[in-house]
Amino acid sequence: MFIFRKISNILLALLFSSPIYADGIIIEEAWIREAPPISQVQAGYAIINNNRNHDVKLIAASSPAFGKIEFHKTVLENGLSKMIHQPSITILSKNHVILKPEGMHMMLFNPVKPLRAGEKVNVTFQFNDGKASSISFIVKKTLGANTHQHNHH
Amino acid sequence: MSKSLFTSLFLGVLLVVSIVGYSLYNQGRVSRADLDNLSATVFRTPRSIKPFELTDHTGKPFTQESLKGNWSFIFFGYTNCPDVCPNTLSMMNIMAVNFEQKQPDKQIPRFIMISVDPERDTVKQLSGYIPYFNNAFVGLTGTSSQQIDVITKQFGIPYFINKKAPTDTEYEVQHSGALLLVNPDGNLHALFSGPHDAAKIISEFNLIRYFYEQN
Repeated sequence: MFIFRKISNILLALLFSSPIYADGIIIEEAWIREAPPISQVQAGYAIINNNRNHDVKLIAASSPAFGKIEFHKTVLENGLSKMIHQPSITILSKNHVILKPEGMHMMLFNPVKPLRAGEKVNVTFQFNDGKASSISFIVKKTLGANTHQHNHH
Repeated sequence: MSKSLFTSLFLGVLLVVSIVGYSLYNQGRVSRADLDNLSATVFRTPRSIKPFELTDHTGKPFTQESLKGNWSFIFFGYTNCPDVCPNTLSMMNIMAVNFEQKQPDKQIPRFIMISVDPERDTVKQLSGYIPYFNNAFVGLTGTSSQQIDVITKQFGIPYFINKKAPTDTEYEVQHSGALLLVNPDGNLHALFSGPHDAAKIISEFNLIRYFYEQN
């Protein structure tokens, strides 16, 4: 029974999984928070797994949907919420980094057009070994965002 | 039985009856001690709010008088904030929906975001931002930082405009994540420090309001 479950899990994973890269970097739960159409900034989140035998550094991100992407970390310091710019994000070998609300995140500047929930956006991650990965991020409305109002322009 | 023993017994019984009676009377009531055990800071004497003059996201003036008549949750933020502010506004909407569904007989508290970035947060900018989260939410801004400071200074809300150069338009504003609670008299009643949890704030607010209505 166990082996069948295992196989079906693998098949399901193949069907629905986030991109799995042969080079050992696995990116899961990649999403961008839908923002009010007037917004010039947004945030993107994901889980970045490093299955390699050595640490990797994520040194840049870019997307045709945004003017600029930076890595930022939200910290609470002396009662102030601050965003600390991160020139790179290190993912230790056999470890992962979670980009999440009010933590480490991608700051997405100047969307080319307002993105609506359900849309997919390609983001290219550049690593320090010269390799790049293209990741599909899904735009999501956060739980709690006003669902009574839809702006279809 | 001596007279003094009788008096002592009588007083003793009277004391027991008083204690039992008083605790029965107090059963189900929220005591001040209960409020001290909350994660929110509840002021022993709510603080009056000095006059301020801001503009809401529809262009209407908003003063300390506008706060009267309902409970208000006030958060400080700015619209060029990608992470914390949308997260807090979404949480406030979870709270608003919860109040609407779970306590339909009660007035839904007011939810307000005061901008700490009046330079970029014009009335037009706020009008395109605040209703996205909830049509009933209120966004407030001023024509200068001085106008905002009238309110942040008296509430002890720190913020810092982190401009790298005078021409910097992508600057970050570091700000307090505190959530203020103003009572229907228009006085500052309590303060919630971040990180926030909608369920916890709602349950603590219900106790705070219950205590306020009893007294």
